[in-house]
Amino acid sequence: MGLTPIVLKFQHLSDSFNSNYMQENLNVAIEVRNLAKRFGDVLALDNVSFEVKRGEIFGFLGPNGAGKTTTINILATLLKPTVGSATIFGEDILKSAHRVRKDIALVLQANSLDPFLNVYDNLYFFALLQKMPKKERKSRIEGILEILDLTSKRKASIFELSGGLLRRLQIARVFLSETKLLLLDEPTLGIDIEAKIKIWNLLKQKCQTENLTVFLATNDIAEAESLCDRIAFISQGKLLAVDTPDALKRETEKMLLVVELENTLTSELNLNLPTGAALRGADDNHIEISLTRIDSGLSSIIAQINECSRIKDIDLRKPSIQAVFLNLMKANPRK
Amino acid sequence: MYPTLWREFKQSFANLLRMVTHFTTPIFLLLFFAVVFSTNIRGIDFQGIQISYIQFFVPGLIAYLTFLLFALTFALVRGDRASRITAVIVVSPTPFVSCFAARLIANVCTTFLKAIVVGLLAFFVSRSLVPFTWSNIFLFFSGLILGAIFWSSLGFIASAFITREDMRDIIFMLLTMPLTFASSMYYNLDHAPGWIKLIRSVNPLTYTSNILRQSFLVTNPVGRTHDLLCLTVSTLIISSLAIFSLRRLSI
Repeated sequence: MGLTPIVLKFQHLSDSFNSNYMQENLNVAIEVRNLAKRFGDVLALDNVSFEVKRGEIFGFLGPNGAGKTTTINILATLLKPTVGSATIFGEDILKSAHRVRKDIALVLQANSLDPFLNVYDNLYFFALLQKMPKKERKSRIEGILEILDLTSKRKASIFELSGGLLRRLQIARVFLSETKLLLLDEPTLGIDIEAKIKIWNLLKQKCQTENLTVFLATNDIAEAESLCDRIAFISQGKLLAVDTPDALKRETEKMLLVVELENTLTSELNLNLPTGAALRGADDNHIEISLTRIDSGLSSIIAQINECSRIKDIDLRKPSIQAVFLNLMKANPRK
Repeated sequence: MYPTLWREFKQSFANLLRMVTHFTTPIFLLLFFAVVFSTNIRGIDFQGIQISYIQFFVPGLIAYLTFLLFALTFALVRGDRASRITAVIVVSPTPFVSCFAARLIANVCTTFLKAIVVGLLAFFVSRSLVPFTWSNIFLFFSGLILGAIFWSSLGFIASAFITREDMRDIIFMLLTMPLTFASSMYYNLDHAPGWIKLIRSVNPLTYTSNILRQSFLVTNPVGRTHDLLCLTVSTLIISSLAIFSLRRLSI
């Protein structure tokens, strides 16, 4: 047997590896490796690593001072990391900052609008910064003003806008751009629920139609849950968990059956619970049982309780991101 | 550079109140300061030539307008940093250095307009004509542009390095007071004590006001070249440092 088949086999393996590797790289929008940032004695980020796929809405959830804004600032090339690296669409944020900047648009936590320009001019200035073609500028600005209910405020000074309207204007600005990645730092803070839902829908739509990637730092659990394809939890600069909302809920929180009794329990509760169910707590007229799945002998449990006392109400609480968040925070208390 | 230039001009000229603010200071200084002093000071010596106080004061006032760009640039750049407009510009395809260039151009243009208004008003007040020569026009524009670039650049540098509000006040006082009073902007310092003359000799404001004053008169070409050279060199140094300091502002 000659060497040719072995060489061909090796070449095939190598090509397949390169193709997979390239394909994987093409699918990655953000890649963060062992990122750390120190401000004097404070370690704001501690060895953080994660990946964000293209077209994904990635939630970065954490309490105040967790390191969310620091991460956004590093990804936006506004801050240099102390240790570690990050790439955006394959470009290193330090070595190719100017190329990275072409691909991103940013909503900062602080109000980053020009106080000397009115609403329309703020958007126009941003359109110019983004090098938007002259023909498109006006129509796109008018369109986004319409969508976010800002048309009546187009000539208003920034000082005349409420906090919520200012946030809306900042979001309108990033929706104007045709960048591939949005870095949003608590974008809907102070915005009413109706406008929030409108913004969420717009984000989802843009992700689906334009393959836009969104990195969303927030401490609004409802926002993260309803919007994000994957969520990362961060606290004290450390990444605690990264996964899809469903997987996070499955892994860290079980379903909870809360039974309210009409009368006080007279005898000791002695339940024969099936596998996957556990008694979490019981007092005079409340029983809490955690379940891994709905079919974990739910009917048998209820029948057993009904024998002890008449049931007034049954509540089957599904696991929530809020519960996951609280569990993670309990397991990693702040120092 | 177009986006940042558009913003500068929109900020400067689209707002009527800002326009009024631009012109109030030079007009008030001319009407109240110069007119009052010219009734007490009949003539003043400048490089061996006797001129009226208004003739002495008006170029000094235009030099002072370039000097005001130091504080103005500092305040606007600080404002941009505080409101995080700087971050928005940095994270965009527009090069950040264009902010610097746009501010310089806007500053030169607004100062030129103010100088025109001051010049016209001075003519109505004093009824004295400026000798028109091409060399005077060149000198006037050189003094104005170099002065505006020098003080704007210094404003950029200050905003990059002064980060504390309490420090800002003391540094500004320690810098602006000696520069203002130890220059020959408003009066002749030929008979001042030696230490004031020393500050005057290293004060770029002296050179700015001298160049502008020379552009309003017929003076010795050697003196003109010396002052222009000093201001050009110091402007090149300061504006280079300002471009270097942009890195501090952008990250």
